[in-house]
Amino acid sequence: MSPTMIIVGGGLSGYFASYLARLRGIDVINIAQGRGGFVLSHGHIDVWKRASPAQAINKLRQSHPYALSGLESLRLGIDEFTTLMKSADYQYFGDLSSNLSLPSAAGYRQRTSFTSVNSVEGNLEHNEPFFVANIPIFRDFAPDFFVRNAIQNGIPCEASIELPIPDLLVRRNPNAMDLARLFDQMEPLTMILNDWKGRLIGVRRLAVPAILGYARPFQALKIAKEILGISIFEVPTLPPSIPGLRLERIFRRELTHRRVDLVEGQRAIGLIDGRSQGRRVSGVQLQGPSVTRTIQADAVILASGGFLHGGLVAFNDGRVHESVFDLPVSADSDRENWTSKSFLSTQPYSGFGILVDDYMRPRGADGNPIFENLFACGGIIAGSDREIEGSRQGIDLATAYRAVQSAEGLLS
Amino acid sequence: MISPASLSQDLCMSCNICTVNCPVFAVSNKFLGPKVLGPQATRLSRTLVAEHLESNALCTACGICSTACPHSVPVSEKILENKSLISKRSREAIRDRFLSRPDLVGKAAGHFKSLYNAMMGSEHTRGVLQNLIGLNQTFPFPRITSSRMSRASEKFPSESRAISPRQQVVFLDTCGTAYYEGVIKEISIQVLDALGFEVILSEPLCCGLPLHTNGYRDQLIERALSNTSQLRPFADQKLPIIGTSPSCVHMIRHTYSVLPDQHSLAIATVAGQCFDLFEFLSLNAREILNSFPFRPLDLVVLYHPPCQLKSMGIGLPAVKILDRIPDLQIILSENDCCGSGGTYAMKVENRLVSERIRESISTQLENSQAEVVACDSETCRWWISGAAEVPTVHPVQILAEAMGIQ
Repeated sequence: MSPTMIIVGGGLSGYFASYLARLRGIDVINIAQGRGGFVLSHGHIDVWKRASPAQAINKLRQSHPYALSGLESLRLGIDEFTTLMKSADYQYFGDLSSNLSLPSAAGYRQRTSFTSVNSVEGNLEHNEPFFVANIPIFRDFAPDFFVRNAIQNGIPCEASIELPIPDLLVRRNPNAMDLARLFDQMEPLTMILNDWKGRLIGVRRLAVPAILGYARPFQALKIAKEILGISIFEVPTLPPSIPGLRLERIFRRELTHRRVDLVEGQRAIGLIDGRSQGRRVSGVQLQGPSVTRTIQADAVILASGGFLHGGLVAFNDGRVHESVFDLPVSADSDRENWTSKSFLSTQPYSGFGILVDDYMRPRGADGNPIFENLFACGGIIAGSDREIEGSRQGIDLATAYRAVQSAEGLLS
Repeated sequence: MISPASLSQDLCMSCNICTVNCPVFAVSNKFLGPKVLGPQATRLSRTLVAEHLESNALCTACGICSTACPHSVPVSEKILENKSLISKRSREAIRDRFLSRPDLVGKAAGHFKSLYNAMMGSEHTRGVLQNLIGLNQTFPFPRITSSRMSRASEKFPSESRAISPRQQVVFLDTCGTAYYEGVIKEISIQVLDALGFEVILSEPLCCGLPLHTNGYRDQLIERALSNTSQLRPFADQKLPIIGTSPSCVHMIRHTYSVLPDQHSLAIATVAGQCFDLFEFLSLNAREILNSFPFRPLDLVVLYHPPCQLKSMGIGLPAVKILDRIPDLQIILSENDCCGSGGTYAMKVENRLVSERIRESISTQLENSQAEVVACDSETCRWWISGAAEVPTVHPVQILAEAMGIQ
């Protein structure tokens, strides 16, 4: 019988770990309290925004998640991720030796390592001036704000250009998903694009808010290029963020197809195997309003995220709690020290999390793993400010890869 | 006392993940979406809810919003709570009284079986009912069938056949199996029997889900309490109570417990013993299933897991078990919901929304080589059958076939 693994968390690291574990023949149960952070994600893979990621990572201090997972896990993780996306007809481009520079939703330069086929032509290495689409009925993207900032930042954005969605197709103030679903269907897609074609005289490069299809984004892009005959790329919007949700959809389809159980809307409480004298975990309990169910597993991976996603919980009295196994958290107990003076600088609380060894096993202050068969990946791990570093997705992929590799080693 | 559950709308941070995943919002412009109708509306006064949130009636109660919420807001539960505040027009009230009591309708129609079947089988009669009380005339209403089994709590197999000692289990005889699809009950009991369980048949009962989704909150509470006292003796003896309809199982196991101020030891005890059939088998018949000499079935099945099954958080146990059958190929439905919503699709005003939600199942069916559609919940199965050229079955029918039962 194949070994069973529980992975707690429905974000990028949890789904990616579930995918990798299943590929390696492990029976996987993915448990999530709800949908993960994809709805908030720009869909790029940020690895390290300040310099060449590969070089920068080699110089990190030993406690940084990248240093613990190793550069090799990052490389292999990225390979597995891009292979999966390619097979889902949503290719990713980039490499680890340099960064792409792409316009952000607010018209700033955003440095990232990998991006999807739908955004890659926004690479600002190309100096070709572009216009940005103003879709009047869509409120979650601000074209004028974008243009003003882009010009100030030396981004070659000429102006916004009004590109309406025909009234017939939209009967309410649409969110990004409403529009993306329109672009998934051939008829509305061609109708909208043929209308836009007449409005784009003299335009050779066009930025569009990221709404070009949810289930079939590459098809929408390809047809848009064919009909309009120009270069097109997407820029992120306010949530719901379609580029993130596309990744979620691809993962969920793949996991379901491969018979990974997706258990949703359930809170997991970690179980310790008493017969092992507390050295092993035995699974989790799922707690409903009346019914508590136990799921046994040979190994558990925590991909439950940081404060925003419920993996870590902060209390008024200064305690910080890990929500599944109540693991010790590396944190400052004085709430005064959690945030810095400026909103924009690095925030001490971002570095809070659980400490892990280089097998991704949560460890105590003495450096020894707390349980033999418990692993962690993603935002729950201490030691990095993923926002300031621009390392969020890179850490998710590298640590998930390393955690699955270690767990597989233990189980085989 | 303010219960924590009644405050939980304030855990909503308006991220809209529920709205993005709502199958009704995706196809209807009139529907305001789960975030607005659930947590946000709950913060308004009760009169405001009743006056301004008519689109609440468009919710199918699939519960996807509640499972998608990462902050544990019971979105769907809040929408249904608000639904009970909205008054119905008289025509709809008459119809909804009928639709919310499938047990009474089933029992009454059982006495006039051929008349009922002839009536509901006639397009003309259904057209008249659509005009009179707003029944969706295109809904594939099920026929009333009789079951070979007697109604009294009978044990299967009979004492003479029983190998001792066998684990006793209770078969939860809800409206679907009691009045409309006796065959699924018979097959399930034979499957349980063949796998070594002794089956006690419960009295027929309606779980109350139709009362819930039609906004009859007070009657639902009465129903929850009476069902609980009926099932409690079984639960006290630690007998597993097994249902074939995930919506009924989910109702007893989850929804009774989250009804305001109704949480009790009795409800929790019954909830803890209630299982979906395949969930029960995957937990308790693993060994015998692992070595069972299944007959190969050269068949392609499109399996649509019902929303309520997904809300239970037990994965897809039917797939886990059916995957063991040689040659059987299972394709999983890519649709989160079929649009049936229990009695929802039976109402003429919901017909378009339900049809639009169902469309992608039909498309997937056409594009696949599927020869059968399998789905656990009866109303989903009936609704899907309206758009499928191929037979629609309960997964236990496939299992039974491979076990040589039928």
